[in-house]
Amino acid sequence: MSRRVRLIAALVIPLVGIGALIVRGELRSTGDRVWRVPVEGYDPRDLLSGQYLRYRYLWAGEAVLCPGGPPDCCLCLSGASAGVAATPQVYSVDCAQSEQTEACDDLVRSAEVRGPERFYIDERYALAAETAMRERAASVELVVTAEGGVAVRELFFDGVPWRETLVPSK
Amino acid sequence: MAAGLSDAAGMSDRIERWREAGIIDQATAGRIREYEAEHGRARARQAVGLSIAAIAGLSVGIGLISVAAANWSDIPVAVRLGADLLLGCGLAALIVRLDGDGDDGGTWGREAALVTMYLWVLASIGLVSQTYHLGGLTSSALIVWTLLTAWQMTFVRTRLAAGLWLAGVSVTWWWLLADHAERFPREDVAVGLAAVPLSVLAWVAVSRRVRDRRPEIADAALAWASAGLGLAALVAPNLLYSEASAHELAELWVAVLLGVAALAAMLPAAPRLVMRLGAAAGDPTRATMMLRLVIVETALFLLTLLLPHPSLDWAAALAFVLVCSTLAALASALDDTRAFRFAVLLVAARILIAYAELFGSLLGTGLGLIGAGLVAFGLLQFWKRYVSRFEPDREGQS
Repeated sequence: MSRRVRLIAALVIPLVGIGALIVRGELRSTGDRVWRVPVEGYDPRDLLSGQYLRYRYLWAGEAVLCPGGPPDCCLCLSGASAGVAATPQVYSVDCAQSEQTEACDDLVRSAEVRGPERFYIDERYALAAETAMRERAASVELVVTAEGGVAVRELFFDGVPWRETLVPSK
Repeated sequence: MAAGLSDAAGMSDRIERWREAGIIDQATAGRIREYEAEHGRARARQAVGLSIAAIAGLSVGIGLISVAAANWSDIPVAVRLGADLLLGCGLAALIVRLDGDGDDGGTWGREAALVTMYLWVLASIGLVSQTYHLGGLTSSALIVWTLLTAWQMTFVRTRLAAGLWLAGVSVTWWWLLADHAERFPREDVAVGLAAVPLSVLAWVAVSRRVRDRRPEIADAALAWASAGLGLAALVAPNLLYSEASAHELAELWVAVLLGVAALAAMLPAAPRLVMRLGAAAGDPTRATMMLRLVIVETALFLLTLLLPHPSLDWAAALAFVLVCSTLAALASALDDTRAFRFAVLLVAARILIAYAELFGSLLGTGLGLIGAGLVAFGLLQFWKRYVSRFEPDREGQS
């Protein structure tokens, strides 16, 4: 293999890698069942770390992340409605026990949502988002990935997408 | 440029010594000087150009990361990511185009583009993470970055760019350990494993395969390994100041032993390390002995962490002077004037600080400072005797 070919191959690898990351991100975000889950700031003293908000989920229902539960623990999300982002009812199950999981609309591995989570914000909206996170009802729209993770699509304040309700700083 | 001038001064000094020793005659010395005057300047110019190019690439790359971090939400996702990929393709095309260009400008441009692309990959990983709000560990992103760019960065041609890459790999390793520290049976295992890059870099530096194929990477590894060992050697004596209980120290013993193992792994490489450091112009046997002594001293002072002890101010000061003296002897054996001067300066400064530190009363401090002054005069005599070897013979040059 000539030096030029090796150089080209070496340069193609990062391009393909970044492309693959984009495709993976797109695939993770697609899904028929969309959930709306309330969230709260993770650290009330400093919600904003860099250009992202730190938050954790407020699961409705048993709302437990398997403390003392089965080692292979999943959150069972139920209550999906077609075409609408639904707030799920949640209880913990053993991921490996099919009789426990068959009634679930989606299964999330508890380790994936133990938090704190991140939501990246445009730097001009950062301070407004931090204030809104503290003073208003926040929620995120997400889909569950095939691997049992979650892909967050959007952040809402009082049910309105953040871009439509926050005012950027000058 | 400083390195180039220093090299030129060192070469002139050596030519004089060879002529005086009868190894070469006056005519040969003159021809070598003429050759170096003609080619040395061109080499220095190219080295400066390449370094500026690498810094320019670093600047553009960091700029890209900063722009990505601003997270421009007004730009649609497809446009944002598409533009980013297009930029990457453009950089890759530029590198390939400049690679065939043999002149200085092409080489410099290629180097800058390679460094920019290296950082573009990191910026792009950040951009994708932001766009899709991917959580996850920072170390995961750094591992992807290191893997995607590993092959590409073996094409760099400057020590600066190669050093940047090796630093990136080391940071990835350290971040990985920090993110997964709690997964080890004991957290101090992660602390101890942080020393692994030191010995790995030392072995990369002396690897014949790396040196033959990628001399810039070997040089950069040598620079990092030397800096790491020097830093460890200067920090280790200060561990004698620590005043930890047996219980606290018991939580550190694995880290200490791993650190000592990383240092010990450098010992077999010592003879080749001193040759790479330029001992051919000095005294390789003595340099090897001194390098091994530096490593052993550092390991011994690290091992003192395993024994509960009160704060040993005197011992810490003496240990620091001992390490710096060994470093000075190593620099002397390597014929490295600047490093020798720096090490002697550290010894003198530490002795002065020790007097001010250890004597509380005015009388004690006064006597201590007088003593320090006398020691400094003694050091000056020692320095003059040693340094006279390095000074060029002005008569011989005229």
